[in-house]
Amino acid sequence: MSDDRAVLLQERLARYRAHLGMATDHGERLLKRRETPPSALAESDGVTTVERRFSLSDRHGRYRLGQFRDAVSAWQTVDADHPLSAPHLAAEDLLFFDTETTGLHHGAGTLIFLLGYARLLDEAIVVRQHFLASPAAEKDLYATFLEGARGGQHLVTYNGKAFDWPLVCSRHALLRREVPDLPNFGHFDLLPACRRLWESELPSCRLAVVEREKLEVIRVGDIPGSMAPAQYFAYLRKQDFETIRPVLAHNVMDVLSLITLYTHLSVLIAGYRRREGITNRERMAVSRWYESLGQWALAGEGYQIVAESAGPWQLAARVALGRCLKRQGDWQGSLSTWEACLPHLQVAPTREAVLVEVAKIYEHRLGDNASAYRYACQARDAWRAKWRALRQPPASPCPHDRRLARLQAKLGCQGSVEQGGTRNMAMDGR
Amino acid sequence: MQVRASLREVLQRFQDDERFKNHITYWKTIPAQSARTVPFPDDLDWKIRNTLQQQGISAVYTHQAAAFAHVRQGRNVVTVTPTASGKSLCYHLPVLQRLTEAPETRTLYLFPTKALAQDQKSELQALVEEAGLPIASETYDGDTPSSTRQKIRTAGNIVITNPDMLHTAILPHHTQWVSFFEHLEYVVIDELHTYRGVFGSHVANVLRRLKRIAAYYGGAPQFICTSATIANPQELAERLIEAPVEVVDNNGAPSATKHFLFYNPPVVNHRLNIRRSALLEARDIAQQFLQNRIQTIIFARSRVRVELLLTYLQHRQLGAPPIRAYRGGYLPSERREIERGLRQGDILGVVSTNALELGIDIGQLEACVITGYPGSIASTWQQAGRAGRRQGESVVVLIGGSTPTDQYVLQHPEYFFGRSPETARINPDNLIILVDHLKCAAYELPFTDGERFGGVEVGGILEFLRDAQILHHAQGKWFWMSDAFPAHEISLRSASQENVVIIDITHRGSERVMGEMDRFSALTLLHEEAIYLHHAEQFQVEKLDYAEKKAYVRAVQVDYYTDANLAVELRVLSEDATTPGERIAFGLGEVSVHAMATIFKKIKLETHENIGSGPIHLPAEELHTSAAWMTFSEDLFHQMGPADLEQGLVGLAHVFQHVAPLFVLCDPADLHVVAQRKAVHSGEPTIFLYDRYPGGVGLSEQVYHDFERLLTEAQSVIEDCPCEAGCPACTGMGSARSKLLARTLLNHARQGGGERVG
Ligand SMILES: [Zn+2]
Repeated sequence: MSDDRAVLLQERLARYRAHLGMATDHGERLLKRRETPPSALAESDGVTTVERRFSLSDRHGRYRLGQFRDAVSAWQTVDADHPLSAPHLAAEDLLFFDTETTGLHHGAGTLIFLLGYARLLDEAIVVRQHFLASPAAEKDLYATFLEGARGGQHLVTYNGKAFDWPLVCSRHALLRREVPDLPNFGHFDLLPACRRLWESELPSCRLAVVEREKLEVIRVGDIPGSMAPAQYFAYLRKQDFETIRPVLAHNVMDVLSLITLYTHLSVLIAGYRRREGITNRERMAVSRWYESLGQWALAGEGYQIVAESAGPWQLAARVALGRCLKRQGDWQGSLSTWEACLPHLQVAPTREAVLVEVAKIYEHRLGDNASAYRYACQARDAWRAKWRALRQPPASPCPHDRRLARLQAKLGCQGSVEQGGTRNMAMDGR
Repeated sequence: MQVRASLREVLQRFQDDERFKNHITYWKTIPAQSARTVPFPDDLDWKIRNTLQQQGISAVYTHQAAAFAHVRQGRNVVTVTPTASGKSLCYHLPVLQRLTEAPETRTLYLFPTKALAQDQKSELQALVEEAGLPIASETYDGDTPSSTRQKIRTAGNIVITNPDMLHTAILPHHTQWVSFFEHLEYVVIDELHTYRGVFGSHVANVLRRLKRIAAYYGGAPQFICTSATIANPQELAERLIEAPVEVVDNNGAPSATKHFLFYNPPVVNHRLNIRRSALLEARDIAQQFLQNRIQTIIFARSRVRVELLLTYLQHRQLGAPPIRAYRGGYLPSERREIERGLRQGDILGVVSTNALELGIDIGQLEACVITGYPGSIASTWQQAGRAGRRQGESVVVLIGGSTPTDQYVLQHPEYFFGRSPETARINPDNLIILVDHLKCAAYELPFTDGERFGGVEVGGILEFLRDAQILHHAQGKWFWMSDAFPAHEISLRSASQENVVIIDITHRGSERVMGEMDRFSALTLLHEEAIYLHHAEQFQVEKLDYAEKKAYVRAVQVDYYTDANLAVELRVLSEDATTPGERIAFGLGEVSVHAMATIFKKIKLETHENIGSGPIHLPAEELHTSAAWMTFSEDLFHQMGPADLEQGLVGLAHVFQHVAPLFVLCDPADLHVVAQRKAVHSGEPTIFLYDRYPGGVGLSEQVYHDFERLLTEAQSVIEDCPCEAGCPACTGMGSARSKLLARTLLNHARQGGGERVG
């Protein structure tokens, strides 16, 4: 392209800025001579690796870093098949891993410019960071990462399953012919755990919030993670390492917080029977998690502790405990648990569900049809009360009618079963 | 007992009956053509043969065989055939054949809309299933559940999608499609003719990106295209894919005799040249068919008119099989039901908007009534293609509306039948569109120094993007260095990013974004109280939040449209080509348009009466675009006087506004016309025709090259118009002498045209 045409093109482009969705600056900056490109010296050094060591006795938030070893072994004390359980892992296997990227999208144009991870190495916590000093050196970034992370087995991340690791895979796909394959890491993503435990009490489950509210981590002079892309772009323009230093510091804090968070979560989840350091709200959440995993005995133990203590969670824990006992085949246990809490259960849907469960045990397990019938009638009443409270006719026929009819037949009663449908509702309304 | 007349007898009645015969301005009989077939290609797999034979197909049409042969020999191909000629086999056959040989092969099917993609998926899957081939074909669009997406990416042999999905979902995420791109052999582009104007210019760039990514993974896919009849299928295809393309147009599908009638409703007001409503005429003509149980499809230009016609006809059809409406957005199952109803005689007629125009199959009917010229030769033929069975005669009646365009076509049947259909124009190198896609491409893969994008040298644009701090240059490569996701900011349906989002607030609680529009067009189309047409449905703009770039619209049913006045200052920035002459000169170049909407008028649909007006309060907009212009010599000032000169120019501009879009195949709103008594750049009387889209999409270039013909056509419009002193159909009603003055100007121009040197 001749110089004249090049200038003309730049002029046209400057005129079109508004149409291109860019702020107009009347082309002043565009038409002036451009700065000289960054020096080759800075470019040739494409990847910078930074390493920092921390003593195991250093404190980060509410734990000393070394305590995460106790957390790993704590999992050996519970016989649980849990997503965060690491029975076959040694503390040295874990890589507490976090990235800094040029954006939050998953597309091919989002670059990872910093890979950071902490691990236990020679009786110390070593944080290693691979920084992409020039985007042209991405191949070297992944090569040094694969070399540096060698020996690590299992990633510990925050939202890494949805974001960081797929992005690493995506970048790696572009370089797959030039660098070795990615190892087949195991992966603990701590974000879902935080959601399960604290979603109802925290304003959000961002790591910064969890740090502040749960981990006693205080950051001083930290830049927010959302600033990282802009800092990196500024670094590339200025080629001044000081520009990027705060991002590296931020990333160190992130991976150290992952250690503390993993430690804390393990204490709560594996050590949920402890009396200290865990709230009943948290114990309930942990027990629910065990329950959702089908670990009835473990869930039941947690519910039992809450059920025995006074407080707002007591009733819910007793209902749940009955459920776990039933799942383990302890019909009598679940029956007595539920019957004991029925007088206190006022909330219609839960009450109705428990009544049905109790009726089922009497009918199917104990063969006591009369008691079953009594409870089924109460379930129907609870169902009616629910619709009355809603001040509208039921959306569907009463779900308890069939059970009532069956029980009535078994009991040999004459006379028809009262229908629980809309007609009765209308009569109730009069 | 009523005796039913045959189609032939109804046609005879049209020729005899005073009610109709005087208004039929043209009657063309298109003779029957018998099928031309050849045996199955030798290399066609037996499983595919068997399947076709089970469907009663024992040979292929000549065009299907030709397309197959080209593809097998490794060439790109575009097949140009009319509606219902078995065009989808032109791509299914070679693609399936290849899959029987190399099952790991991947193919991308591109359809312009989701509905068409869904239709084709059902057809393709039926074929694949019957042949018992282990081929996975699936649509990939906004409705595809994420669980299915993963499977399609890793294992879909045939991925069916649209250009928008390719642009925003597939290309920017190509690292998730590695095995797809590694094995991509064919790209099928159906309905190629729809990729014109801004949309086509965008799609050409999306294809540049596709080829770039495919090349990165080591592939160079072959393109298999089909198109409705346009004047330049090869040129369009070659501009879109930037590679040589073979044209196949030896249509071997049979067709029976077809009658094509032009019907111009009688003039009811001679002074204003107002004709009887096309809608009422359509009702009477359709009734002639329907009461004789002749299956008919009736096209109307808006949803309101569809509803009106449906009501009229249902009133007169008591007891007969029903007449149904068909609008955009119908599900495939609903279409199947209409189709089945038509086949079994349970449905007698369908009243449709042009939603049915685009390749969607509802079977073939005996009669087709088109209410108002659909706007282009190509889409008229597509609508007409709805009538015409393999055996038995069929008829198409085109009823003229009172718009200038309609009247031009009705009075110039040779325009419609004589010349080839319109040329489809694209301008992939429109600077704005190009820069937008260059950003997307840089996002997808860093550019290397010296790399071209398509055929374009892009170093200068990459530098511009670096200076705008979007790219970073290091070690000979240009890296995307922004946290933005460029494809999300770029709509393939508009030229500029500064778009106004249109929000439908008809249903409280389920407000939805229904589209977007560039700011310049929004001035005249989305001001408050404007009637905005969306898929032939009317919406009224309730509020235009110009700062937030949001227009809130509500569905309405009214019998008027709105027309806004735009006060325009136009400056020529550069002259790229000129054709000097003694009395008249032509020019082409880049202009800046400073436009401000002033007032709008409400105009009654059928009569074009002005029934109200209101002010528009919007800031001025600045547009940079390309324009063609014609300049008259300065001495006209003295000959005519400034006032008359101005009126003559305005009248002539009015004619151009209606005639020019006919010749460049564009929506009248895409090409604006402005007259200046004293142009800023030359001081001479000038008429400008400029592209509405920033940077232009090639419309003004074509106007520049066709200026002579445009003048000839403008003259014939003025001479042939039955009005006395100017009417909306010719020079407009700006003054009592506009027709006379425009004619004076034309005569002046025609006596001394320029020699072309530009
Ligand atoms: Zn006229």
